Amino acid sequence: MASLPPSLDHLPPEITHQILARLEDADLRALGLASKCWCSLARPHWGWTIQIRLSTPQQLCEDLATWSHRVAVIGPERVSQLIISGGTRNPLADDRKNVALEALSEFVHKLLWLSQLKVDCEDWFGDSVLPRCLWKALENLPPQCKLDYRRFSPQRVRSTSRISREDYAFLTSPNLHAVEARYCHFTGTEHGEMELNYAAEALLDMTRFNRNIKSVSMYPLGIFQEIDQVRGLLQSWPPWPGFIFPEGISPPVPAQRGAPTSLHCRGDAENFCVYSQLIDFSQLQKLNLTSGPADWLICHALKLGPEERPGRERAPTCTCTRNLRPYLNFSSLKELVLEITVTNHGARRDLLTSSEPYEAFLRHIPPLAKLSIHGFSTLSLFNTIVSHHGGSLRQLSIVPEEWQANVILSLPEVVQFQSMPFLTHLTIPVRRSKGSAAEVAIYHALGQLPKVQEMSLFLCYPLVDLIPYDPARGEWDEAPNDPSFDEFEQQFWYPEHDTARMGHFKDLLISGALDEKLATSIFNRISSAKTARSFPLERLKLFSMGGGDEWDQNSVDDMSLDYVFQVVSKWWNIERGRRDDQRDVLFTRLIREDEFFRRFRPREPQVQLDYTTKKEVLGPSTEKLFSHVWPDWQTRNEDWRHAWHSFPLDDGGSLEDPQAG
Amino acid sequence: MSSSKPLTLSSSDGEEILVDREVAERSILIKNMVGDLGEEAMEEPIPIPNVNAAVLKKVIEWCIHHKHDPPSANEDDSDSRKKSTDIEEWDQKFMQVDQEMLFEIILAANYLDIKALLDVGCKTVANMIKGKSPEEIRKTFNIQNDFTPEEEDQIRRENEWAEE
Repeated sequence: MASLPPSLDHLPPEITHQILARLEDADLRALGLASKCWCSLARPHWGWTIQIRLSTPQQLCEDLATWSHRVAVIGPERVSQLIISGGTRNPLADDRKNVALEALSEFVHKLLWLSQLKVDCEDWFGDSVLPRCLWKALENLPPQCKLDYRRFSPQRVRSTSRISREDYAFLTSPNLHAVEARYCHFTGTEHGEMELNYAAEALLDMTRFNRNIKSVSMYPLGIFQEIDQVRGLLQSWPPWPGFIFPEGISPPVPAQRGAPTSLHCRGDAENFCVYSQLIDFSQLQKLNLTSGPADWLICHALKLGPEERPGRERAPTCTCTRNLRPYLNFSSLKELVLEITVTNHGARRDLLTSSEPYEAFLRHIPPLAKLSIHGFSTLSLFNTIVSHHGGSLRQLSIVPEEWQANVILSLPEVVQFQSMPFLTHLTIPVRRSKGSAAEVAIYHALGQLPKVQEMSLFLCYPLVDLIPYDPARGEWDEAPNDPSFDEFEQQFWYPEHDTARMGHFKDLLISGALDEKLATSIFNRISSAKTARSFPLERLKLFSMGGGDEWDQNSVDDMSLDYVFQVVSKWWNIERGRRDDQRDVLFTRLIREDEFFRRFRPREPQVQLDYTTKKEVLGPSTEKLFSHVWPDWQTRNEDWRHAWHSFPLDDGGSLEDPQAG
Repeated sequence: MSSSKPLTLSSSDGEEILVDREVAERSILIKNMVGDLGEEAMEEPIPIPNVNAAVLKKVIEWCIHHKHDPPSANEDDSDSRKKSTDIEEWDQKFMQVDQEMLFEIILAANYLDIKALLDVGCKTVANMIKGKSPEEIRKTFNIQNDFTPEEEDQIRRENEWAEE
């Protein structure tokens, strides 16, 4: 059978579809422009997401007219997602004749094949939770369309004994799949009396009553002060005295408990305790909790006594948990995010010896696929993660607290990741030590994780308060002094600890300085350790951390060392090229500070400007230190901000000493 | 466990190739055939009529390298479904062949029902498309542009809407 040699054009459709399934939207669009044949194959895979912004009625009408025309060309069956967002306060308030409102609902109802409608508008809509301009648009959606409503803000609504018909219809809509509620405050005080927010209460109750709501986010959850205030929770339906359903609506009997698959909750323990009585945890696949709710959950899941609770200061006091335990079932849980914030130094020291409840909880739940611990962590917690979840984890993030990590992983810990066969994404703090052989060994070990393709590393130089404390002597063990550099002995440190060893700040600058060359060098070290059975490293994010926050500003004769550290400790994103002819090319870019941790580096730089040269002037101590690390910067008459560089990784020989040169 | 007799595969161009049974059974087609026809039938060469000797040898090379792989895990992680960069270093090198051979391997993997090899092949082709312009894609795969300028313009405009 003489036939054409096989080519892309002559593959059977089942193979073509497998190839197309591996392509992102931009590539599918490019492929669709290659030829008519490929257009007919790729075009059905093009994703169409339309975004409509609520602004003025006139602008909205124009946008809708444009998109209506386009949808006619594209075909409504190809529009799978619609996002309605809004950038102005009280949008469409002056749409008195409802022209824009009608146009919007007409447009939405034309999209019969929508699979998702996401509403992410400003949260100020006057007298109703649901913006007036959306009432009609959100009615009668096609059954397959999942409604994801963001920024639901009951606290904006004046208290009333009557929920509006529209709000009720919205909350009971079978399309409502996900709700993100903000500032769910149950009470306010008006005329000296407690005002009850029925919309907030209704939302909470609907998360059990409307079984279609699968994803619930509450932050912060501040609805309940006392269990007695929650009239509906422990009573029969209709839930609260004086509540009047909209005319013509006869409420169905509510389910006992809602069973969301995803729950994200911020707030305090008491509120979460009350809310927990509405839901059955057994269907939960994703759970994201901050300290308060997490502490409460851990206490009750593990039946801990008051003394064993994590974070004693935040220990919940609510006792109304009858009949709850059977529902604290985590058998479906696959993804867990715990944000454990400890801001107070004293509290952190307490917690350094008390991560046991968190560890016990991690042992209590089934092996997870994704786990993120933000903030507080300990080595013992890390060991629990590896031993209990290592066999199943695909993604692990241990994200340190602001400025510094209270656990920093060294080679013995990093090697343990090799026992985690499915790991694809890894985010951890690792020990930086001036590019020493020990540091390079860590990169090598990371390269030996066969499936990890995305990695974020917090490169941490340990703070002095992590130098081991010797309780017998009542002193901190000092690391060996570095006799080559003693000018800055202890003078920057906060006086009550007085533990900075000589040379600490010099080492801090050397370890903290992260330029593009070093960043790519770290990528290459990890990449080169990959074996033939490994997937390539695709992306590496590097965050240089440590230093600044802890030194006592008052005891420093100038305040610019902090700023120097900020300038030299860059953050990088390094990515391998996507194209097959650029796979060996690395693309680097700086990560903006607000891109990852908005809270990091909060302080404004404290430097003086020399008005004649327009250069920022370092204080005398900092300048001396800077010159020790980068000796020739002044002779080159450079601005110090451009006169620094990183020091290379140990290439197997001896570490280059910056002062030797 | 590899005490069982090797199998003989007969390619479309008549060449007979001796293969360890464990290796050959990476192909679900062959594995089922062995199961259905029984041990005696395996004394005879197994015809593989759709695959020539050069391609069959290449496929066998892949199967030998991957003979100890665990059975492919179910795609339980929907995130990784769309990825195409998760190709092992060895497989990447293995797939560095001319396009004709690449598509022959894909077709053979499809015919012989070797899911993991088919997967690697499809990912390789996807990676050849990624990040390229329509012109570059045409050039890479020798595709003729049969759009009229008006048709092409219309599709381009549609694409621009998606980027707004």
